[in-house]
Amino acid sequence: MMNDEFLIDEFNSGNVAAFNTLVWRWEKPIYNFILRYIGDCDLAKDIMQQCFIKAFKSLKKLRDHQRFSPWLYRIALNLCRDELKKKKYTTFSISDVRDFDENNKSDYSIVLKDNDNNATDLAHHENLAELLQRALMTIPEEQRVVIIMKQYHGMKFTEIADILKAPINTIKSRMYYGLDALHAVLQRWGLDREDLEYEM
Amino acid sequence: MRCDDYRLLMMDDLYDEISSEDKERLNDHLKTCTGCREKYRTLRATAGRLKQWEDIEPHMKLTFVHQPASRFADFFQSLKAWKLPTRLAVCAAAGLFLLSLFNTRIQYANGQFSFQASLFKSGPEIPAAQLATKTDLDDLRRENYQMVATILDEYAKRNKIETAVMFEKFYDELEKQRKNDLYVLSNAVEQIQTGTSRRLEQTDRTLGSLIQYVNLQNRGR
Ligand SMILES: [Zn+2]
Repeated sequence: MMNDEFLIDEFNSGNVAAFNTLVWRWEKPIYNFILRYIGDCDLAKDIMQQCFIKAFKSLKKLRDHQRFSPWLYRIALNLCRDELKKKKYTTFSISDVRDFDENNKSDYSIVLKDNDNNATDLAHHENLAELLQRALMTIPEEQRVVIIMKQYHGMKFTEIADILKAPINTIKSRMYYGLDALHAVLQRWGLDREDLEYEM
Repeated sequence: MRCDDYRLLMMDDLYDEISSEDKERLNDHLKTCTGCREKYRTLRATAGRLKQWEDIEPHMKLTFVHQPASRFADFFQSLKAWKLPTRLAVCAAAGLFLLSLFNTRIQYANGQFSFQASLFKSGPEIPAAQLATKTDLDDLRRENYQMVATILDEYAKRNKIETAVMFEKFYDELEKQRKNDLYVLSNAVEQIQTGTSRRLEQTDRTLGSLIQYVNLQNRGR
């Protein structure tokens, strides 16, 4: 089994194909990380490409070859943050969520106001991924990134703390408040019932 | 412990990063505290919901290839990877190549010498009198090669020697060699000057440049 360390050594001694193997290994997780963070497929592809180009150019500077994936996630995260700044995206505040509830009904065919809506209708009309993406965009960035890393990339709290350069208890606390905030949003949208089934 | 203090433990437990003692403490609290129990239940449900959102394929295979534009950088990069004797040999070859580029070139053709300082733009090759012999030049060339060979031999014999010292010695030798070359040339120039004034007129500009070149080299040193 060629591990990342081996491939990095190979690449550093001039084997470009080794880098491609790293790309093929990591492009799916990195893409999904960026996608959930940024919420836009095309933009996510664009950032993923930038991420690997950046990695390609600076891999020789990576000292600890065992820490390739945290390093790669860090590059992806920085690019995402730059993009958010550039595009002046902001996370939705609670009032925005309310606006979204009222204005975007036609787009998403969601009746979001009350909990007593027929939830199965939602299931038929909506794609769960789209709804969760929307929900994720409503919570603060610092909580969103922790939730993505924990839920979808199976990182340990220590690893997340390492990438985000924050104390581990801060990370756990962000996770807690992030989940709590997501729960509130999903509840508003009538998506908090565990028995709902969605077509993916 | 207050209720707030159990939040972090809930996170530890939710993602199986909890120690057995902490788990026991958390469970004890949850048994007695309805608020925390309900909160933990909703957080767990939310995490469960998030889990249903699956990864998708990027459908985009990135492939990296070597860029020809960076070949120069690659050369230096690969130079680092080579073994020291190889590196020395390549540097020596490069040094000789540079010498041929930047120093005066001496050619022997049809029994006559011609010289040309490659730094100057053009200037036709001026035939000079037979001031040096073919043997002199061959000696020079042989000396150059011998010098490189000696350095490599030296390295093989004393492979503990510092690279930096090695290179310094090498460049000193090269510089000595270069000065020697120039000396041979300027002798030639002098003889031309004292020889035919007509030829001097013809070659005036080139000689001027040559002297300028010599001065430049000396100043550079
Ligand atoms: Zn409690």
